[in-house]
Amino acid sequence: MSDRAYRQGVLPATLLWIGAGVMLFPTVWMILSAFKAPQELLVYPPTFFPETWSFDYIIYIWNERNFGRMMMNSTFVSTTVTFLTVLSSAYIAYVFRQFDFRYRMPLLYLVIATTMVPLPVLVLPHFQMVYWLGWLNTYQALIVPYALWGFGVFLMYQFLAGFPQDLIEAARLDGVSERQIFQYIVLPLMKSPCVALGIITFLQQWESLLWPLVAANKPEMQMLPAGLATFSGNAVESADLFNPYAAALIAALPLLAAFLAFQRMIVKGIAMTGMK
Amino acid sequence: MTSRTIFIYGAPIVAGAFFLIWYILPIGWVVAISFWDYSPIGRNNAPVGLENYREALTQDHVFWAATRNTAYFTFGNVVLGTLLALVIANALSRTGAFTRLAETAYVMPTLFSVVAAAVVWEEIFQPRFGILNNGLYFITDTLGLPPFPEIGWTTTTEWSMPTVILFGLWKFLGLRIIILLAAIEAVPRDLYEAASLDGVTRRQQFFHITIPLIKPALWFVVIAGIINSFQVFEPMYVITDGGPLRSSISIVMLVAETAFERQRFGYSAAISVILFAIILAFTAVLFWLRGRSEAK
Repeated sequence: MSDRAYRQGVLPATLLWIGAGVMLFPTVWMILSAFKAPQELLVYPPTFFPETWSFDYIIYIWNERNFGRMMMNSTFVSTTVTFLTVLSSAYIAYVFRQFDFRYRMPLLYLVIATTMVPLPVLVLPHFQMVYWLGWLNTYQALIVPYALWGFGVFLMYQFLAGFPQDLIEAARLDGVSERQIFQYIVLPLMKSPCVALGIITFLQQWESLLWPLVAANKPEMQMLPAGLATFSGNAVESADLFNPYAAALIAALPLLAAFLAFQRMIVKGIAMTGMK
Repeated sequence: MTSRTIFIYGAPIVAGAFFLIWYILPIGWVVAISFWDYSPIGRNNAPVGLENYREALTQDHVFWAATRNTAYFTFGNVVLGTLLALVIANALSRTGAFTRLAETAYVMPTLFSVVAAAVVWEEIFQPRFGILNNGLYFITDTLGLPPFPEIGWTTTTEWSMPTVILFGLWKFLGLRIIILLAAIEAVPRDLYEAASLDGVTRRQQFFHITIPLIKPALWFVVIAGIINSFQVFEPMYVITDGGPLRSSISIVMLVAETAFERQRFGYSAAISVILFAIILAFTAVLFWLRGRSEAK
């Protein structure tokens, strides 16, 4: 191997791995630190591995700082929103692709145009509406405004562009109803955009901070990010059992674990939403 | 009414009603109250014309600080993020055996809930006890180098924005890498083989084959990056709380604070409308530029 080829191969690879180490560090550091006593986080010289591994701080946060309840809220809201968004987007996109009715195109353009609206701009009016409806601190306040997403409809509509018509025609001739055609023939073939949309919707809901902070601030209605942001304020200074890394670990673990288990599927799903 | 009719007309009715109630009317309402001095608990709600806009654009230092910070974040995050992601995605597409492992490391932060990640970041960058300053001090101290200074990453006005931008780079790099890597891997391999046989170097291949063929993905990463960065909120809210002295407040943070801490809904609405206008203007210009570059 010539000197030049060597440089071209080894230098980028080394940099790539150093970069990977830097990218990975916060995650590794969080996992290790979650098992340390809060006092150990303050010592100099810093320790890399915990002096004694202890689950106490995770258990303390789970039980005493409401994280068990917040985990349930986050899981319930994120799952419901994902389910509703995927199903309604697939259904609406299919009907707009397959059938003709009055105002079809203007309505479709309107739906696609809504993707231009930045969600933070909607927080204020949504708060006012939810307040008028008496929905503050309810699950419907967290779920309903996000039950449908213009981008989801757009993604599905794009996917259905080359959908095989003969399958649908054959089913129609056999007297299968339109709903059943959608449910049993079309929907199973839409698996890949459904998975892609499901992944990014779930991720977005699981991470969402601003709206839950505004719409549901009661402890029993809080979701993980809002609760975590409220708690983390002066954690380092307080001398009790609160270890902020343990709190972050609880909030981050479900998705990180899912990522390690389904990396290929998740990466493919995210890549698909970027292919327009 | 047959079930067929219900199935077909259900879709436009559901879509129309949903987007009317949760998008069109709210946007109309925001625009309307941006011309009002409006508070949900106030007794003196009254139309004030363009007063809210005048106050934001000509009087309010915090609004301009928020706009500057948001622009700074967007610039740093999109320019550095896109370049880094491009280089790394290219390297990932070429190195062999352990690529999947490296990809895992780069993509991991994407799946790391943003608030949890920001909490970890806040602790790591904490000036006195955080591992970044302490670790670097420990290393320089052990090696007998001049001691690493205690940099106020989260507590000084000159470092708060760089710290938040670093966080953004780390958190959103994986997303860009995924999209660019997928595009690079879709480039036909035989183009590279043919170029290699003709003696074209890897660098030339990168600039003359890869870049032109992944242009749509690059445009997507840049446009989506700009639209999303202008709406940045969580990193500032958690890591620096917009401080110190408002040195890292973002526009969305200011919108939320104005409405929900100061109860000035009308003024908050005016700032939202300005943000919306900025994003629309950038999007329009970028789409126009993209159209021009494709026409060439």
